[in-house]
Amino acid sequence: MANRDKYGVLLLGGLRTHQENYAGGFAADPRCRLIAVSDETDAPPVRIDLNRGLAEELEIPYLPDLDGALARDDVHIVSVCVETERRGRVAVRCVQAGKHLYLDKPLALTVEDAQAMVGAIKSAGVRSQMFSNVYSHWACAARRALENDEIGELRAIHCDILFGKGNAGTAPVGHKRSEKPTVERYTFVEAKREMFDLGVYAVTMVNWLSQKPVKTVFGTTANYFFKEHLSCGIEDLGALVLTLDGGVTATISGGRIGWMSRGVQCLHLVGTRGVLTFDAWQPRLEIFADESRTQPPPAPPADPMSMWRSTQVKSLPKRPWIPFASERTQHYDARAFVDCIEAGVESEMNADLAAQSIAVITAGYRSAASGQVIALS
Amino acid sequence: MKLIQQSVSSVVAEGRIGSPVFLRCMVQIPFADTDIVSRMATLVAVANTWMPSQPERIYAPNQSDTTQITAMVQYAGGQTAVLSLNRVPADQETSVNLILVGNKGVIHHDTPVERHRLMQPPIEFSGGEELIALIERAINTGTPLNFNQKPSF
Repeated sequence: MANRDKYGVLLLGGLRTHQENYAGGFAADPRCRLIAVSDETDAPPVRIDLNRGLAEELEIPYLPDLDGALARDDVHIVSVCVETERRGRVAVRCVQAGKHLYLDKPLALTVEDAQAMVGAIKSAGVRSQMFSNVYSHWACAARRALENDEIGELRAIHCDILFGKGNAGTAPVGHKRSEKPTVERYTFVEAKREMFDLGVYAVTMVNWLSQKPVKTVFGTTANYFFKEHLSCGIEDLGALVLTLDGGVTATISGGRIGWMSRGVQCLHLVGTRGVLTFDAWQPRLEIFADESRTQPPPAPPADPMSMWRSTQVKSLPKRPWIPFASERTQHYDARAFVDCIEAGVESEMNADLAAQSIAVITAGYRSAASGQVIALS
Repeated sequence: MKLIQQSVSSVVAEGRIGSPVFLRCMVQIPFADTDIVSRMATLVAVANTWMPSQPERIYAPNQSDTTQITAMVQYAGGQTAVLSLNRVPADQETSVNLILVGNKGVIHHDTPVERHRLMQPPIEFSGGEELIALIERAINTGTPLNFNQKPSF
């Protein structure tokens, strides 16, 4: 019989964060019980209202005092979805309270925040996991292919994560983006830094599959699609060329390219004996029917890029294909983390590995700003 | 590559994807085809025909062997192409996977595989010869280099 009290889960962050999804993942695991939603007492008032909104939706209490919430004996896991700018210090507080840490992506805004988090986790001896794609069916298939020596020696990895969301075509074309070397702000209502937010999936995939440190980074960022990103001064697409230890080359792209695309989540492995491709949307069905291709309704001001379940446009254009039915990503990712806690082993995407992606992506911004290849130590 | 180049160009010319902004293209060639740099030169030349502005810089990290070659091309109007050429065993055929993203749409192409493979017309490489020296220099230096002449396809 399932014991839902085995792992109590405290949720930090609420509506209009990925906690909307992660909470569902933990709630679906019969070993877990959602305890409460909480946050720092001095979190922005708007954020606290949205946190209370998720607590009401889930019918669990909102605990305004984070220290009090972390002191509870019935909290074993903390799912951290506070803004990226606050994530480093909040995560360290959770770890110092002896709680296992489930983290939204990206892990942190800066390498320093990520390193502080990793150090605290090692000192406390708790488990950590950042949400990623590495437990997905297509990533696991790629990992098995490498383990089974299907392509010989790995020479290159290419991974694209391009989301088909948002009303594209509103940014002027033909203009080069001028990038800044440091990322000072991540959180905006209307958009996110897409090389960071979506590129992190691709970079972590490269790090996880290769298990090799990145030596150099060359990158570019752009404003190809959306006026919202342009007005926030952030990119809607970025691409990186990486060199890895052992002479392996990797490239990634991360971006949001609009409703009219089908979106791309794809991985190519190049080896000395062949090339294999893995696609999140394979296998799939193609559908041609007597139905109009509806246009998406006007984007809501609170979420024009359809980032959050609670606010995204409900009526999507009909797609000419659908993937085979599968379990929701958040469910198997959360379950994998609880499995690691139970088994007393490290997650495949623990904070240590996730921190490497922060170093790579922030180097990518420095490269895009300077036009030069950035070496990582 | 000429048939692919012409087919994609026809869609671009119709304006169906808006203005091309980002290209991801991977080409697999058999090991027996040893001239990997000249094949990449053709690929760059093809990419240049689809983009609405002139190529400005190319970066091709130094490769430790000749299994594969990868290059990023940056264009004057901010567009980007990420191109890879991979050598595969002799019993495998030349194939192309491409995604050309426009600001209002996307073109996808995958070479027919398995039981459809006989539907694929031969993929021949020609054009871009004037880019070979630049690409060789980019690989040897491992640094981004400027295009110094207008390429042709």
